[in-house]
Amino acid sequence: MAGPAGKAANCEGVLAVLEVSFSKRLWHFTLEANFRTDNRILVLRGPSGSGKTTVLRCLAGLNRPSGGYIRLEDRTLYSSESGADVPARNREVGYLFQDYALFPHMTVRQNVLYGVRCKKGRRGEQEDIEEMLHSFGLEQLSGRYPHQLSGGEKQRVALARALAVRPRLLLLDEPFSALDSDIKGVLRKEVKRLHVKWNIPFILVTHDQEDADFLGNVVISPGDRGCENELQNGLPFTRSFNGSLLACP
Amino acid sequence: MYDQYFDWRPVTLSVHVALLSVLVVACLGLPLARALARSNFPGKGLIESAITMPMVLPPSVTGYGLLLIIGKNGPLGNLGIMFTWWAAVLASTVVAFPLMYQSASAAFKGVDENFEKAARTLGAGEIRIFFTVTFPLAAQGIAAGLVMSFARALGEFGATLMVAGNIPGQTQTIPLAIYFAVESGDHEVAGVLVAVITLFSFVVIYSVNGWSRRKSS
Repeated sequence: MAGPAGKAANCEGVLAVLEVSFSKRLWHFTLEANFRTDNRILVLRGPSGSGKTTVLRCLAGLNRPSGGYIRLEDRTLYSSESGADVPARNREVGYLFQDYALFPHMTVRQNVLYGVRCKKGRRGEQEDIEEMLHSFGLEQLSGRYPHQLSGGEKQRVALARALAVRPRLLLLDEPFSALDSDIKGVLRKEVKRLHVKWNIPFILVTHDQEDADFLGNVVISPGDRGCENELQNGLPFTRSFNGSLLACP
Repeated sequence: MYDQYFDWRPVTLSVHVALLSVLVVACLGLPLARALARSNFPGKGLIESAITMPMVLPPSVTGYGLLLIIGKNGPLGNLGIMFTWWAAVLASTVVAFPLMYQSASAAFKGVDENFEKAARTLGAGEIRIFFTVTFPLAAQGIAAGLVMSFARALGEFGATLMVAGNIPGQTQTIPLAIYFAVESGDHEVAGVLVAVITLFSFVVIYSVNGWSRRKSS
């Protein structure tokens, strides 16, 4: 399924929601990401240390690529050519952290409302929040603090918090790794349901084959250029996530 | 019995000096600790060491250093604050600063960066992140720093004596009053002041320990 880098260029006619082509020099290798995607679930699958999370952090604006571009819908979020680099807070990219990073001093409701309150001039959101809490099954939990929640509940809150600001892209970093296997299946379905409902591209990072099989419309695994010996010697080599979600007939 | 004769001025003066010192220490120490907690540059270690020095230097050395700066021929000599209330504030500030800086710095470093990053992806600006995420999560450590530096400022003796002198009602703080009361054999005055400061110090340490106990549980 993972196509070579050139493949994206062959389907110019297909509308991409997200277009990514950047490289990032890490201390022991160079990371490359080249892919285009529409409103589907893209899974980046690879072993730990392969740079998957770094790809997400570059997309969210938490890390800066060394070169290339990132385009989301009609906006250029990053371009080394034009010097564009939209700060994370203006990217409209949701991010689900691996440990969820729920604010420990805020209740569930305050967590979910946090992003909404940052956007000024949006007074009518109050009902939306009630609806949001309801749709995530969080009304009962709205007064609780994160340390009073189970792993599955934390994830639901984190998803609600990330989606409450209506992002144009949602990034999920190893969303199921901290969960028991029996709840994993439930939450995988939940993510799939949310994806259908929100109709925005999801990019999910995992090392779990099951996650990839169940959720991924397209799975991209890293390809390495340069041999493993070079890695062991600490010499630079390139690892790239290449692929395209857009079917080329 | 001796209440109407007892000179409480050292107590009120000490509280005023300590409060003002803590105010200065907080206004300078918090931004500095926040700025240095998340950055790394050559020379950072030197700056941090210089800030922390008064904690390990003999107070007379700190006092002598201040004397060189605000004394008659010092670069700030023409401010004319030698042997005034302000010199006591300065001495207390310099010795209390490291306590505030260290507590605040540890507290800021203890805040998981992912919370700040999460806030960033949710659309929060840096100032908003500081007041809604970083500060509340570091508040306990900051409070401990404030209380500790207040106690340290209240107890400052050596450097204060050197730059502010011992002028009753003007620069004579509690520790100075105790020293000179004992020297002149006035154990009644010394006893009361010792009791005041011992009780206060105990309450400070007890509550700071209580906070850290609750935090670790």
